Amino acid sequence: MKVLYYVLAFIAGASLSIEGAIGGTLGENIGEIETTFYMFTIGFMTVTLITLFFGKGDLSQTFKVPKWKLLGGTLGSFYNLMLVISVPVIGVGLAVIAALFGQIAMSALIEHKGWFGSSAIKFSKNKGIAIVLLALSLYLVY
Amino acid sequence: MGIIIVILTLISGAVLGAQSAINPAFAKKAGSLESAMVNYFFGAVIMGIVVVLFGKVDMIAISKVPTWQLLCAFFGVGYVVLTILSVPKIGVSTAVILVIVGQLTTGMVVDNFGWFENSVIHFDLKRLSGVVLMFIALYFSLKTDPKKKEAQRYEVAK
Repeated sequence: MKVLYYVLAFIAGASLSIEGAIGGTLGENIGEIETTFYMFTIGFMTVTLITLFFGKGDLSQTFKVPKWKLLGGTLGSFYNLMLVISVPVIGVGLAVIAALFGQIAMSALIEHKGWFGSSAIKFSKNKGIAIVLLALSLYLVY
Repeated sequence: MGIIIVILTLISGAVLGAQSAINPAFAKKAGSLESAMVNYFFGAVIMGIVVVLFGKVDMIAISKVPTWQLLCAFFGVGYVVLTILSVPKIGVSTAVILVIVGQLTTGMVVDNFGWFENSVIHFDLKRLSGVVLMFIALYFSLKTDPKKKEAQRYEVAK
């Protein structure tokens, strides 16, 4: 049964790439920011429906938590916009690797500093190796 | 041109890294689906403003594209929902690795065949070694300190 969830996680990743691949094409047709706006609007509608039926959390927390905790969507929209812009130029594969590189390096920095309430984890040798390898990988694919 | 786009994409990945640090802080209080919903809401609001300020504001153009191009939004939602479903069952780090494997495999396949009207970029030895290095990097990145579950940082949900 667990295998099903492994497959689901894999499909989740595949969906991300397909979103970028199709979004890039749509971006060329109707404009990049328009495409990102469209993605988030339809995404919001769909997730609202899903939350209505399956959500078990507490939406009212939105008004109680410190405002910086709500920044996620704003940051996410910049990432999506950049993906829509980059895919037609550099392809999906390179876009994925470049974004992962930035993501992993940033995560290491955030943890090192303990920002956003994360427990501080000092930058280790392994993290360094990982980032060098990622840079190499980016260079090869580029 | 290409290199600038690569650097900008890298920066956007860094922004996403910040987002995945912020998300759990809110999701812990409000719930995963609720957090995704609020994120989508603010993403839509911000992009709505950006479209009005800088866009062609010609959303009518959307009625002229083939329907399959409009499916991109649902793949994004699919990612969010599938991650929320699988993380509690298989754990964050396993899920993160599988998501990245799925992302890379699909990305390389789409490029190789030029699916969805994208230009064809053939899968060659350089790309293969890039992907292999990527997985070794992932191994090093995740093995650092298992106790802290740092993999959580990559738990990306819009």
